[in-house]
Amino acid sequence: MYDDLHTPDEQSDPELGYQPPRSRPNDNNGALTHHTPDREVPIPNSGGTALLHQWLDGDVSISMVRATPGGNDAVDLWTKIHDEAETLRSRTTPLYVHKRIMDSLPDDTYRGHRPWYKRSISMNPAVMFVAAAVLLTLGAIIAHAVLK
Amino acid sequence: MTSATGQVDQADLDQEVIKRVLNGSRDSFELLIVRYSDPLYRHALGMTGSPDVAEDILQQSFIKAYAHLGEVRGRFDAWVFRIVANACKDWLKNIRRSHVSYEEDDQPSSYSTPEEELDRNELRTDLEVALAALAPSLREAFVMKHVEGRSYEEMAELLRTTVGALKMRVHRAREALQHLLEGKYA
Repeated sequence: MYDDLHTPDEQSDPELGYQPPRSRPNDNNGALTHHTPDREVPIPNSGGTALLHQWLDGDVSISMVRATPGGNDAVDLWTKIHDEAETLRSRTTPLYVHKRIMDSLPDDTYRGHRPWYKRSISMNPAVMFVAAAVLLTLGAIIAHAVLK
Repeated sequence: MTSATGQVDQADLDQEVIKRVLNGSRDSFELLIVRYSDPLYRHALGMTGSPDVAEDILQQSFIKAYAHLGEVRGRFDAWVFRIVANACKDWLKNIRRSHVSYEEDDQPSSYSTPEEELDRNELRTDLEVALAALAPSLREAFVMKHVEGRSYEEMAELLRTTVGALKMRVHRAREALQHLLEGKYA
């Protein structure tokens, strides 16, 4: 499968930004200070470049890219970048972050959404004593009424 | 990557958890955090280059997701991904960047020799600088494709755009990175 670098979306995608520099922005010792302008400019698309993209998208074999002028250098560079990406891909969230998130959630956001008969109630000895007293009184009243 | 059936099952499970949270079970939200934090953290780390910033973005995004949980329509993972992705792009647009990179990190090294570790650290720093030079949308597309290993179709679904537009962004990002790095590494 070949990538279509000039799809209709190219003209309508407002988020494209990179303009490839006409000359290399850094030499072997140069600092990487080039800043990418945020505007839409078509990519020059040589045969080697197209093959490189197809290889990176998994559509052609590495040997086809290596056979193009400059292909070996490009493959070596992207192999290094992929190794680095692999390192990042194995990263996991530090466990303390889960706890930090849970601790920072508000307690009462959805408490009111639960029906009253499903809500939990808090009990302490005073509440239990009052509840027991009320139940005993009610029981006594009912027993008195029944025995009368 | 998950199959379509797996995604449907997962989406059903997520909906169950969401129902429980909306009914007042705050602790159930932790299931969603545990289930989705790793890919979201990797995205934030790839986008910002800083573990500290990635953790903050993850935390703020989950708090936002919790507060707006009743508004989830469709897949929770795609919805929360967009919250994180937007937070990352906002950070990239707003921050006046000093030096941040994921070498601040204290995770153990897996390199075999000190020389190899030095080389990799240098590449890591240069790659971070090169990624920082990209427009946020190009960096996002590159990170999703090459760091997170997503397919164009999956990216299109998450970012609500077309495969063609995303291919264009990925290709532009590659061109940019290659121009910025080939002098030193190729």
